[in-house]
Amino acid sequence: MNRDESAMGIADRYAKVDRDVLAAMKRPGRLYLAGLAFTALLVVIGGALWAYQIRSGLGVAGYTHPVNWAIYITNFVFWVGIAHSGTLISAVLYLFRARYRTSFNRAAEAMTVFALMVAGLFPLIHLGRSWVFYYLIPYPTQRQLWVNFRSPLVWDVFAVGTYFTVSLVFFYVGMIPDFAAAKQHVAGIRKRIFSVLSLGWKGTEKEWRHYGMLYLFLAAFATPLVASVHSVVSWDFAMSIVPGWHTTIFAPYFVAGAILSGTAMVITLVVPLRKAMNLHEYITDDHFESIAKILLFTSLIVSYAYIVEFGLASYGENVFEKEAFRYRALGEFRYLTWAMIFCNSLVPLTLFARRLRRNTTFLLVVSLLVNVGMWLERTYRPTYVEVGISLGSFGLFFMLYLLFVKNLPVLSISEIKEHL
Amino acid sequence: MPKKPVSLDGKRAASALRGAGPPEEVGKPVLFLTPSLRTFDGRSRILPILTEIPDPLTTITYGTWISVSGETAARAGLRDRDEVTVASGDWKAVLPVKVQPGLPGGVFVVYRDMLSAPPVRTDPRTGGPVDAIEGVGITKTGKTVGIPILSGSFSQQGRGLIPDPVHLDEERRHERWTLYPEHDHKEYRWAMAVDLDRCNGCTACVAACHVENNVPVAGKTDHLKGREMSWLRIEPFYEKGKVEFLPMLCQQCHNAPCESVCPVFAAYHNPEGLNVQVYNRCVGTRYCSNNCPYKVRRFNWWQHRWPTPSDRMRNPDVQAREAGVMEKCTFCIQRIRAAKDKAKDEGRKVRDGEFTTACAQSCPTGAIVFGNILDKESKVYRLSHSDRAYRVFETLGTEPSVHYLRGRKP
Repeated sequence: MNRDESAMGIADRYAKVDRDVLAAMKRPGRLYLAGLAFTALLVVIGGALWAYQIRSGLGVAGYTHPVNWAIYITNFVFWVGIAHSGTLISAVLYLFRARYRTSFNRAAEAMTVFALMVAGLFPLIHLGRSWVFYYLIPYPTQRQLWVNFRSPLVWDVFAVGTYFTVSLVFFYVGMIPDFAAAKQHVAGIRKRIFSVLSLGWKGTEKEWRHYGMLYLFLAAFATPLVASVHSVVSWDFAMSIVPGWHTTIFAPYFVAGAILSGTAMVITLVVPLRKAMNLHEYITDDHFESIAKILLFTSLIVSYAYIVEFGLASYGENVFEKEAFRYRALGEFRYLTWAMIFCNSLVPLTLFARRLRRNTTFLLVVSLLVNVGMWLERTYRPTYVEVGISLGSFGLFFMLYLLFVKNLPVLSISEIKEHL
Repeated sequence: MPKKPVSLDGKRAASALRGAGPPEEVGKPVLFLTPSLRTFDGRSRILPILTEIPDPLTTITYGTWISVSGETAARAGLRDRDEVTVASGDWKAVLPVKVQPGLPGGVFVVYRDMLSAPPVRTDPRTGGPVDAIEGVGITKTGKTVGIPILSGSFSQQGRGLIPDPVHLDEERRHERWTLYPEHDHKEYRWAMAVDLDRCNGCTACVAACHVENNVPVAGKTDHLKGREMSWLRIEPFYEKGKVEFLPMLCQQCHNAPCESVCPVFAAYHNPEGLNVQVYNRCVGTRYCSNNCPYKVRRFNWWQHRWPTPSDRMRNPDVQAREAGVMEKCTFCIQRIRAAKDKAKDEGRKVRDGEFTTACAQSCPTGAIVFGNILDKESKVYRLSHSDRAYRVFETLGTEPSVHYLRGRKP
């Protein structure tokens, strides 16, 4: 905030925030439309390949016996992980009263919701018979068939379902005052939609008090979900008896990994967003530095988990376990393993240097590498169908994101005003 | 014809056989053209389903290959699937290599049905004696050819699938506790005993299972990807200079790892101790297959078809599975049902030996015995309580219903 602005009256400053943030919602440029078209194309390709897979059978994917779970489950875990850091930034940092979250929280919440939408598709794509996916949901049937509550996959359905519902409500509730602010600046159908979505928000004292209570409650409700949802996802693996999976470290390892990849994804999204939308005033280098510290910290936890995994396998006397890890480090896919360690453990170490933490270009490179690294955590040789569907999921995520930045307030207007 | 009593002098036979083993190394490289188990001299090639059944010594299904001993392969730098030219005089053939444990150095083996014009005369009536060609030359072409080798390893890798007899007692009893109620079996609990000392690896059981249970023919392309569909496989293990065969099928575990992970109860435990797979409930998460320590579950990657006339071979008592569902050995549940129905009509229980599974029925040495283990008079009860009996991966606590018998206590 420079001196000219602080000289302005509070009303002017509020108006400037409205203008700056809502400027992002103006008529889109050519680059934006090209990006939207490209991501939409990826979605169409991914959808067509899924249709092809349903028609032909899962044989078109690279699965074999006994590699029954592969890229689709990888994508599921990856996207749920991405969703987590969104919650971490929006809810956990809110509870800690970390002010720098204000610049990221809307972007992060949107990321959570979209990532979960994408993640939720993958267990369905993975199924041999996607069209009977509803068997996984407990509902009363005439034949009195119920789901098997001993199966971690059923826990998954509940965990991800709960998480998506809470995230969506949290995302929406946070936007109610912003919808009210935004509706004054737009016209036509948009105004009507924003009016409905703002639920008649007037900004009275009573409304703010209720809003504050609800927001705090939702933040407190979403926070434990960060740990529980990814723990449950990790139990899909840890509760099985497959060597290399059946290990108690999986839950904390997955949660740390999720926050690592998610934080990297936030940086990946926000760096270009800040540049494209000219939001340097609101998202400063200090903010990036704080986020980079989270990235570094979670990377250290993940590195520790890697060491523990290999350590347990090497001093344990289980031949299966030993072989599984020997194969990972020295087998056919060793390059992927080493690339993963490079991306997830070594590259983030550079962030110990303050100068590098404040360099957004460098941060973007690091976070892209971490995204790649987290994705490499699972080893496999995919077919074009799987690659296409995976790219389609990225397309879907970024398409939803592009639509979000043009149609909804990308920064939390009310919170920025609060901190003015 | 008058009956003539014959007897075998065990001691003399043993001393005669002791010196009859193959030499460690032969002087000149020699190529043997041997009849194959599956097609003899090639006359059974008319039955394409036989190519779906793996050759028990190599576990290869489709295609041709030349078996090369481990030493020769190491010396010539040959690995599985390397293509070589085999030549003798003006005859030559191009074949991929399979490194075969148990062959003496310098000995090459090709099944006769793999060569359209073998360089030897064959007796059209019997397929002739085993022919050998001395002084063959073998050169690498530099190419590699995909041959479906279904076995992941010819070694037990220290996993004790066929444990040393002296360790059987330690393996057998492991304390176990569970949070879940025990299964209750009222009248029947189906079990199997497989005598490994009787099994000679002929794979007749595999073929019988295929035909009985409408197991789809996956074909070469899928086999190359390791997507075999067979419910029963013969695992050859080459250790200490000899081969042992382990017929591996669904172990119908008492505490089945597959059942607890299925989200929709498609894998479920029936009152007769079978791990039943409910095809029309299965959504295809493949979690059961991940969690199966015996790796006997098979997933339908495609909608498999039975082109005419193979559709006439289908067993009407067995449902054909659709794409996207898991399947596996059922202990021939259709035969169990038929036997129980008949017994019910006659107002009695199923008698021991009244029926058996397709694999047990086809086993020429009687190595496989099937029956109700709750019946203390049954053969399977007696065998499973023999001091030679063990179960694979006993330490996991899965308590399989398949009991293997091997060796004798010292």
